[in-house]
Amino acid sequence: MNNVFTIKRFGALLLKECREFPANFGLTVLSMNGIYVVFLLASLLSSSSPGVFSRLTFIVFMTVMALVFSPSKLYGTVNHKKKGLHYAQLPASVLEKTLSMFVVSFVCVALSMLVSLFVVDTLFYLLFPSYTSGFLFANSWEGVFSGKVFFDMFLIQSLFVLGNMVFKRQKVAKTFAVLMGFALLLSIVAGLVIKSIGIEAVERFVEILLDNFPQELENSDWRGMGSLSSLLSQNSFVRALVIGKYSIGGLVTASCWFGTYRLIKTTKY
Amino acid sequence: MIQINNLTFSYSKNNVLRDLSLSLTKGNVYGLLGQNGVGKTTLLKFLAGLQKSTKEACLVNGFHPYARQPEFLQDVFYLPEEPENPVGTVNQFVRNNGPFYRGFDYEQFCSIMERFEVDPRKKFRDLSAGQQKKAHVSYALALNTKILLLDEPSNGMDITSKSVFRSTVAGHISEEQLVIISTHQVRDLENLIDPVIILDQKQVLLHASIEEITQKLCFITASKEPEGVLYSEQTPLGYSLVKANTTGADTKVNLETLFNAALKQREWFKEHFKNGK
Repeated sequence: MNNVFTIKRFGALLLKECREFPANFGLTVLSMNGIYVVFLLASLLSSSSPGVFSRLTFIVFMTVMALVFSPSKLYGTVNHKKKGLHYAQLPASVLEKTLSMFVVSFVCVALSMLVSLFVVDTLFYLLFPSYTSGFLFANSWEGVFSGKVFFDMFLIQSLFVLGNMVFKRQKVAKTFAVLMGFALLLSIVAGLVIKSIGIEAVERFVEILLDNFPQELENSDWRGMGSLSSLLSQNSFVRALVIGKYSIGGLVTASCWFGTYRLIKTTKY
Repeated sequence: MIQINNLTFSYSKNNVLRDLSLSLTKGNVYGLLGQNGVGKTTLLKFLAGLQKSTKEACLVNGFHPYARQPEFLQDVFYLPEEPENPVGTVNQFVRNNGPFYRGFDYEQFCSIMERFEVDPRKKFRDLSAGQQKKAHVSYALALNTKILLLDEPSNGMDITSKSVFRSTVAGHISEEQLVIISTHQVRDLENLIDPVIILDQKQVLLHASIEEITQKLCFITASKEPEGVLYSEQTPLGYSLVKANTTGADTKVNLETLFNAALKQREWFKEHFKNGK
């Protein structure tokens, strides 16, 4: 028997976890949809028509919130001394458990949230067509739901998936606190670096950078995030920053999932 | 089937197990007895791969348990004293999890549940504590794993259910299986447990079959406390006594008295029983 990975066993595990998904996360999806309905109704009552961009932003925000909370809702008991025994004893390999965790906590959660929120939005438009600015589907929402956005969502969730395995209680709050700690540390380091090289040097560097930016930038439509991004990427420094961001992001995501794999493998009960 | 060699475990400066060695073979229902905190549950967790051990110290069914490989997990199941109750109905849980074990038999699960008079269509949260325990025990038995580790399985069960549990275990366990039952309720499981393992002071104090125990010990009741006995305790009917079997008498083992006698006469038991093997 292959003790690392078999499609049959992985499929069975994924199917089992998908079957349990509505009971474990259905209420959260419903609550999130409820919040979105309240947001739409509030906009309606205040007679301000919710625009496409604000609706899409709200949907992305709700999806990110669901992704942040889903690891602890779906797999919160995995490292619990008593409650985690069923999971630890389930005859599937660590790789299969990790992959299934990824599919359920990212793919299933993102899909269920986006589909349900779009359905709610469509129903809302059908009920109050004069108050909303059209179907979301009829608008160019590719800019909001681009690969970059999903990459960022996955990165954020990976951090919370690892936090879910590291902490025993108050997993989301503790992970958030640790991330804030890191952010604070990074800003202190950045401050010290700027102080050591001198603020004038930094200002000169920024001026050189701005001089090298494309002229079209001044006349561009700032709401068109896609076109702004493509203009900025013409600058070699920005391009290097973007590559650096994705490289570090990819590394952090991979490290989080490897850490999760190791913790599933080595947790003692 | 299970080989433990010089297993040592401690936490927070407490040494729970020290150089513990055991060899257990299939076809037996082992009774694991011991006072609170001697490491019974810890030992079961080692065997289930839930605690870290080295391959040399613990080998179960040919596998290093802590590696938790699927092939190992398919044939070992540990039921804790207070299992976590899943969300949803008993049936949903069993149908979702059972098929991962190669020996799982849903019909058998239903038949055991019927004998326990518990409705598997009910949600766990709608069952009483005793019924929840019965549902978990039914599931554990229906998995038909080669090694079944039960921690206080009869706790919370009513008198009838304890009897059903005894007969179910006795009736369903094959020669290819090994069951370890850790319990304080020795009276509940008399006639089921054989051999007996008593853990004490971080080690195995007694590891012997019922036959070996009856060959070496006599269990008798008397109205007066005679001299020259290994152990005696007062009961409403007189005295329950344990003495060395020097006449070859064949008496029925009283597990509770045996346990108390072993703790009282540690040196005698260590001298007369070859432990750990």
